[in-house]
Amino acid sequence: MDDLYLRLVLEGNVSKFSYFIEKYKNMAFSIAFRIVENREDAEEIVQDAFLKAFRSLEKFRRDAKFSTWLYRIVVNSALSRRRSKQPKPSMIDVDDAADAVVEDVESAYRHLAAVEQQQMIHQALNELNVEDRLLLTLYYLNENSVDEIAEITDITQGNIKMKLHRARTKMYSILHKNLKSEAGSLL
Amino acid sequence: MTTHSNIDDSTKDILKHSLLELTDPRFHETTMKKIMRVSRRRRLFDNIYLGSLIFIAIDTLIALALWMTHLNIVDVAFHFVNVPEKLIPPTEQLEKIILSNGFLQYSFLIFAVLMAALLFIESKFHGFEKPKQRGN
Repeated sequence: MDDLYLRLVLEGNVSKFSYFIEKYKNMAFSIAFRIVENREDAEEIVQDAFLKAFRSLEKFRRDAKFSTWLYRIVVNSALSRRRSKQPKPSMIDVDDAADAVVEDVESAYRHLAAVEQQQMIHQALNELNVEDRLLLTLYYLNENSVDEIAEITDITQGNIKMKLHRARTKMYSILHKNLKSEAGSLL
Repeated sequence: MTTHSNIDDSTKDILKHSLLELTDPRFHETTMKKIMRVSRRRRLFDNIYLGSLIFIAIDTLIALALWMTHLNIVDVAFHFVNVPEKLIPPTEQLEKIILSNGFLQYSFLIFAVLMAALLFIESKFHGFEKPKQRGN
């Protein structure tokens, strides 16, 4: 479907670019927000990314997915925006969590209401460093493959697998800690 | 014991709540407006560029025709020149005729000015807009 709309836009039917905005805006926004941690900045980054994508559409190589290419633009823009502001230090250093923790967290998490689940996951992601947040978002939320993540982030595939494992472990540890303190009876 | 794929599924399940949505209802509209503006500017730039190329091509052809026919446009415009007589044998040096026509010089000058103006417009309007700074 993307290819069809891409062709239409390149043929001069510019209004068809609307399709890409509608389809990718929320995911692009989620990625940008996980990096810059600010809604306004993330919105501007996403808008700029769509403009950049449109301007460079003719240079887009069809061997990659449009979304991969767009997210790469978003990631690069967000990282440079973040660099231009005061960098935030990594907030937490968590030891490896055992499988038991994953199970505990999962079952406790299910007992929470949807809104609480949302708050809990946002809080946990905020406590992770940018790279961990980004990798978890791309792999688990957007379901990008390791190859695609490598293309988006410029991190080698081997490194991605290792970092993903660490990030996930950290996230579970944070969730475990937060669930314990906020809903102690559930754990 | 939790298997690797189970952990992946659980993590996906947990992280699906982390999807954020753009809350600005005008986001789509404003982005499309900017894209349409970029598109219009690009089309204008392309048309001017194409137009200047056609102009140069025609100009060069005219200059070439003058060179081949040994006609001096200044002479034709301001003095009486017997064109058939001029066309028969080359009595003047070709180089001198081309230089005195000044036509090529004129076209290159126009071209240089036009290209400089286009490059200026391109860098001013096609360059990425600096994002507005907003407070956190």
